Amino acid sequence: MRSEEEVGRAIRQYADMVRRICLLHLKNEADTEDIFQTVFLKYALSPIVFESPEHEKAWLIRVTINGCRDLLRHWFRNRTVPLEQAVTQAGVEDEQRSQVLEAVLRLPREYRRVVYLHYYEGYTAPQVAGLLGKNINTVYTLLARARQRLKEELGGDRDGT
Amino acid sequence: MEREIRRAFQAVRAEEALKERAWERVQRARRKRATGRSRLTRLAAVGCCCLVLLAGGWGIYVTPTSAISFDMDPSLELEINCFGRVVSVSGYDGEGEALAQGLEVLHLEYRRAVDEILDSDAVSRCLEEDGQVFLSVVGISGGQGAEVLDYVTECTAGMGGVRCRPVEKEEAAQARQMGLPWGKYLAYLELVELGVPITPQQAGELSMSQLRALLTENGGEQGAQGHHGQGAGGYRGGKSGGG
Repeated sequence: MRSEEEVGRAIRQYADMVRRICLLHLKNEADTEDIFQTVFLKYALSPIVFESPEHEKAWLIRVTINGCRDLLRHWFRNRTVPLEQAVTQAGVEDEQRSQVLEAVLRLPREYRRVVYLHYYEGYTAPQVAGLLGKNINTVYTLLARARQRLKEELGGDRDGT
Repeated sequence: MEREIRRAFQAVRAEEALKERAWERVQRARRKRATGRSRLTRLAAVGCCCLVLLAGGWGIYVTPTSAISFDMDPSLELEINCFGRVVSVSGYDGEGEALAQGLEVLHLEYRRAVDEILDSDAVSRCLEEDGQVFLSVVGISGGQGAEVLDYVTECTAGMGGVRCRPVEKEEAAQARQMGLPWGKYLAYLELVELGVPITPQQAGELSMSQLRALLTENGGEQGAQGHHGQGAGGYRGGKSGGG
């Protein structure tokens, strides 16, 4: 089992990231709590020796996404709250940021993942493909479609960095 | 748009309480590993206990020297012997008995039993719905009660809504005489003191959350006292990362 220092460092470093990935998939606090705890418990118990910080981060992303996927498969877990409430529960109070988040959360799940991993975490399309087990061209297509939908929903000329 | 997406996600943060509970979950798993035994070792321990029984030590083995009452819905009580083993698990109603039977903590070392109960769906559900669980520790004989109280206080540190408290054995005996778990007995006494016309039977039929609501309505503060564990707060050792 990993040491207290390692686990404490991982929680400090990756808690926000895990929380964000939970928000992409889950719409209630109980499920988020469940997955959040499970991810760090798995981290603590995992015998994997990470080759680099990037390896560690990618592992946590995959474990979180897989955990959310597994949870969503259970029908009795589907207790959702409205999108606006989910965003508020995540602590986002700024109206403009809430609108953008809600727009992202309204995208189909596959689009949300690529949008988050590419635009926020800064992974390239090939890296996103590796993380999600997808074809690179599929990722490019998902990104393009997601961008189009977000443009339509959020309106205006919002291209560029 | 890219900038807006980044700003939007930047605003999403994991709450400190969420991080704390995850830390505590990991710590409980760590303690479980430290005190846990393999099934074979457990069977061997039970086998040794059987030998003790054959040698006429049955009376010693089953005699409780301390008890822990989980005051929640449903209530649960563990009795612990001088060897630190759980010798009795009981509920105060049908639901409690069903929970007791489903837990499989009989004959476990009490620390492991407490960890398993705290990790159970029953406790999670109770904290989610009612927001409070009390662990009342009764020292029946010897100094074991203090040790048990220290342990439950430490392992519930950081578990929001869980409080621990010591109970005198004479008071616990009175509660038992009335057929009430300790938490309900305490609530019943306070309601009577507030002038609420309630019988022990009626108190037993109400859930802990209903009793607390009744107390609140009548100006009572049951559950205000209790130990909050100090906790190690171990994950807070450094700066928060960007995640």
